[in-house]
Amino acid sequence: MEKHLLAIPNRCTGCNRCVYACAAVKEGMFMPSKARLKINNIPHQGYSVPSVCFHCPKPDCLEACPEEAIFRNERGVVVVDARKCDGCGDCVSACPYGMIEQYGSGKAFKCDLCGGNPACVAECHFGALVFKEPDKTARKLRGTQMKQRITEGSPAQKRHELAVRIRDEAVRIPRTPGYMGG
Amino acid sequence: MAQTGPTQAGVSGQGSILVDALDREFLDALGGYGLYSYGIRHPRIVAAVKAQLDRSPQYSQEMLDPLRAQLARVLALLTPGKIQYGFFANSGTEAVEGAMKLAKLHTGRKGFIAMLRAFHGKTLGALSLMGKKVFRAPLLPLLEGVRHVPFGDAAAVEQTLAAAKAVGDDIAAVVAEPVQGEAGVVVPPPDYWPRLREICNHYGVLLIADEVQTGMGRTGEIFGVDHWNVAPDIICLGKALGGGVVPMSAFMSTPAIWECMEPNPFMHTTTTGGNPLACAAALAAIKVLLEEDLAGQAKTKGAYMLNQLRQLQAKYPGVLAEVRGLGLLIGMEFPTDGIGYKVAAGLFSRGVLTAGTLTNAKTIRIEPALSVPQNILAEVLNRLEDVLKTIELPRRAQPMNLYAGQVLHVDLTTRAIQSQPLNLAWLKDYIGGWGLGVRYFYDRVDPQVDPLGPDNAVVIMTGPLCGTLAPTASRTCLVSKSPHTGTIFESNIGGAFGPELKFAGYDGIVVTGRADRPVYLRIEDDQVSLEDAQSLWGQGIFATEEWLAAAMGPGVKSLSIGPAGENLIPYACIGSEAYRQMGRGGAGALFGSKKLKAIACKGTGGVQVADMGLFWGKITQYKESNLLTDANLWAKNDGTPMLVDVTNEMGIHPTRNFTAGFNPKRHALNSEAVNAIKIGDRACASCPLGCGNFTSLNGVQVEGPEYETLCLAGSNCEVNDLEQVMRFNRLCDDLGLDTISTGGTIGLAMELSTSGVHDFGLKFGQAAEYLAVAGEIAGLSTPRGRDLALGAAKLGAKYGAAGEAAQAKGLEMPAYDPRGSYGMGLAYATSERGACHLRAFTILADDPFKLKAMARDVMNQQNRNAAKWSMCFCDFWGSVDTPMMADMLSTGLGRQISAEDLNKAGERVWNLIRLFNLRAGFTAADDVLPEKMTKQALKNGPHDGRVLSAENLAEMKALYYHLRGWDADGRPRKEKLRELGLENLAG
Repeated sequence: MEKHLLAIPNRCTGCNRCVYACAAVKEGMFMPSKARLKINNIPHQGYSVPSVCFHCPKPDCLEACPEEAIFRNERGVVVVDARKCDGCGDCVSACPYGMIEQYGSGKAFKCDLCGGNPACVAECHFGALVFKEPDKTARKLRGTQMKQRITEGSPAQKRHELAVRIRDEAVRIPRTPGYMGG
Repeated sequence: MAQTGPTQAGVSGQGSILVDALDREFLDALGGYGLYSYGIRHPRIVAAVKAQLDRSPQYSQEMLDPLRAQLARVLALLTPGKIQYGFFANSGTEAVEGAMKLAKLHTGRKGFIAMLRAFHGKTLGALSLMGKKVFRAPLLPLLEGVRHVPFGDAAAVEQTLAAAKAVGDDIAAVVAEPVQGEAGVVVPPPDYWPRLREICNHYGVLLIADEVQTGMGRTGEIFGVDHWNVAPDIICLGKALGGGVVPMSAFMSTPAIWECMEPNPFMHTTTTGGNPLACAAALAAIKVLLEEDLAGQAKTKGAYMLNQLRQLQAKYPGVLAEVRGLGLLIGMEFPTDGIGYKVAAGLFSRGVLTAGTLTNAKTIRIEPALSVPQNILAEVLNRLEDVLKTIELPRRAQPMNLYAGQVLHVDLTTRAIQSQPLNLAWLKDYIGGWGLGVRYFYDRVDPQVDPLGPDNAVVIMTGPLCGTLAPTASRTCLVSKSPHTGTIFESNIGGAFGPELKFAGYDGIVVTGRADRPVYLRIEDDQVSLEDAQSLWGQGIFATEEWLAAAMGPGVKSLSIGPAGENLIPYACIGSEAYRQMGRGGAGALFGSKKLKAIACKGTGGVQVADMGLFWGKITQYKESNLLTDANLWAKNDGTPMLVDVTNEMGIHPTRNFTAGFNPKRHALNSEAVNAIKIGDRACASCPLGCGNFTSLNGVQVEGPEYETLCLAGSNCEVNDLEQVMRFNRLCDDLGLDTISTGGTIGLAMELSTSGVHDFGLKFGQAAEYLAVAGEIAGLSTPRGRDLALGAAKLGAKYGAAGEAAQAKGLEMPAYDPRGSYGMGLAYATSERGACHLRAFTILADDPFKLKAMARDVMNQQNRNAAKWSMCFCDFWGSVDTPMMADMLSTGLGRQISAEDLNKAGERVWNLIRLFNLRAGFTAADDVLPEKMTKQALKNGPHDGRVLSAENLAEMKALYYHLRGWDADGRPRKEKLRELGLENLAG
């Protein structure tokens, strides 16, 4: 079975190191707006939810692309061929999780799992991001997140809305040791 | 609509001068979006319509109307090719609707090919042709069979036609604007229209030219397609057709095509289209068009404008990116939406009307009357150049490593906002954060300034490693003159405001002046503005943050104040992310005095480093080998509450208004108690320690309480009840009160009530009143609230008990009793902002009572921490030293900064703030501690019975001054100032 990048929101501290690392790998500078994953901080209620690309079984972005610039590669990872992308933005509206966005040029960008060694996971010191073959608990957690499909709003608004909806999953006791062990 | 002024409000005008509802005159370079080709209220057109109004404003549908016939005949003579018959309607979009119906009826096919970014109107049929998602998507499905191809690409049209034919889904017509207007004035290649004609002929498809904007002389020929001698099958007219006086449009075609209308002439009808007023206007307009040779004028004046604009483009290349157009349909393109907006706004304020475009925000259109006098065009160009001069070139012409390179200067009085290059000459000596903040502040402010007056400045400064993976190095400093102590002070905050500011492109912000009504500073990259905050005035920090998130979208980072700051409580704090504060020294009151409710920021830029691989490697090495080791992991595992047990054990845990150093009921407040109710770890930006404890108890939730709150608002008030301390913490965070000063002041009031000096209705251990009084302080709503709002020093003085207040220079003491750790006493006495534990922290010294060692420790730690806060590292990376910091900084910058440079920078800061305080009127006599410390014996714990005598303090102080190179009065000697390069700043 293939490995999944999984977010475990109840462990996330909101530090954004994963985001900085992602941008550093992909853009060569610390530029969170262009990172392929994002952290939604809800500080007042004391929780944070990482937004990651699920590389969906039926990716809305892939289906929406009129140029066939989005495809699933040999590893099962949903990626963008920037040469084919014409910047129409249909994938951005289509993704219900806000996980594909556009550069100023219009070209789309999204998570490619760093070719199988995601830089974000290595920077997470609280085990809120894991990359592994999913077990039953992980599948359930991923399912809860994927079930929230938000069709309205900007990518940032969609991610925030998802974070608000899964609050009960994100705030739980105990948050630190014990759950899924990293 | 993407317009910049109330163009629709024009109440009068003539020719190319428009007068708005407020009687302001504008040069009309907009021409009513193509309506006023003949000028505003052309006398001959107005006269014709007036005359017609007196004859017959409307006709009877059953009778023949000679005016319509006459107009149709005239138009048939003007229009290209075999176009003969037409239909009159009221607006451009109706003309397009009619053209589409005609094409479908004639061909018996359903499909259309339209162009990307095309604009043909917004009724449902025309909308189907629209080339922009935002207007279409919410209304789907629209007409089926419409395809879009790029404008100007004839091959794409041909391919699409071939494909449609191959699958039997045939096309009725190809629809295009001769020159795309709303897309930002896009002129196609010269062979485009001739090729479209050929291709349509080849496939037997109709060619529809939408001349609504380009027709009637606008582009320098009577119709746009005349430039290429192409005869479309159907032509759509509108806008200027009605002479700029009456709404009027038409679609026209050839007799062969019109045949399809004949079997049932009622297939397309209108009650008002082509009414006598409109026909009279159109006939008069065409007369003007021909007699005044408006097309010829448009050609000449258009060429002049394009030539002049291209010269401006060459002169201001970073501002005006492109100029294009045909005749007097001209588009100026700017590098960003932001610049385009500024130019449009600048022109408007200089009395020139122009228009943005609906489908492209970076472009401004110039579309004046075709008869516009030459002197008006020259004046428009003049004013345009005047605007272009004021637009700052894109920032970061020279990209910097680590630093953003810009500092935002905001004058609230004049509402002037300027982004200025970072002062590079100061970087090596002052680094960032505290140091650079002090340098900017010192440069700006007279030390005698009234802290709450408009002349005081607030400097907010990030550090060089802020916004990078360097752990714990994203704190943000605020430097100003304190309303609580009257000294210069620094207060810093974690969270993520600093990184966001840097991503927006600024290392710091300098705020001066005072707004005349509540405002907030809104920063979105290079769009910076002061916005109304009247509705937020009076709101707590939590509600303010919620409001800002709704206004600016999720992810906005802010610094804001609550009622305490608004009411100028001298120990009001600034809050961020609900539970983080610039706590000490009254920064909140400074915002309040400036009527600045908040600074809210969103940034999309980045921070670059010299070599990402090297930098990341270095950071990871220090993180693994130093940060995440036993010296610092207490922060990750427990956070600051672990200090409750540590300080109690040492006997320096302030209890019962600093009467005792040991709290027997500490177990209610210690780390174990906090961990038991913790439901999550919280971290500042880029921090792998995550020391924040989010707690929940009996429905009370808060991030915290931190050690200082547990002690000052817990032990020191003898409120040994975690739930009540959490309530107090949350309340203060929302009201914007510093919990240390508030807890310390309430503790004093409890003591004064108990000892009978004055009854404030506050008793040690009684939580209800202690919770109530926090709101009374912030709101100044009761006599005791107003008393306690003075702070401990002035409250004590007012009731003749100055010695009972645990404070230095007026700032309430933090939670380490100096009687059990003499170094802390010296640290409190010599700190620039009064009693502060973040300048030097000696409680872990081997012998905390050894005077000589303490003097030296305090000085060294002050210098080291000044460097550390200039680098904006967090206190909790306790084991980071200047060689490590210098190594990280050098690697990121790509040039060498030594540990010695950082040490010197720290010492320089310490001397410069001393100079400020001396010039503000402070002397060695202010470097003292109250009688509570020097005369009253500490009770309980290992140091029971101890005082820190005035003699002992004086001895430490003398030695400390000497070590610092200061004279006996605590004045930096000339040699020291010279050594640090400060001799010119001594004043």
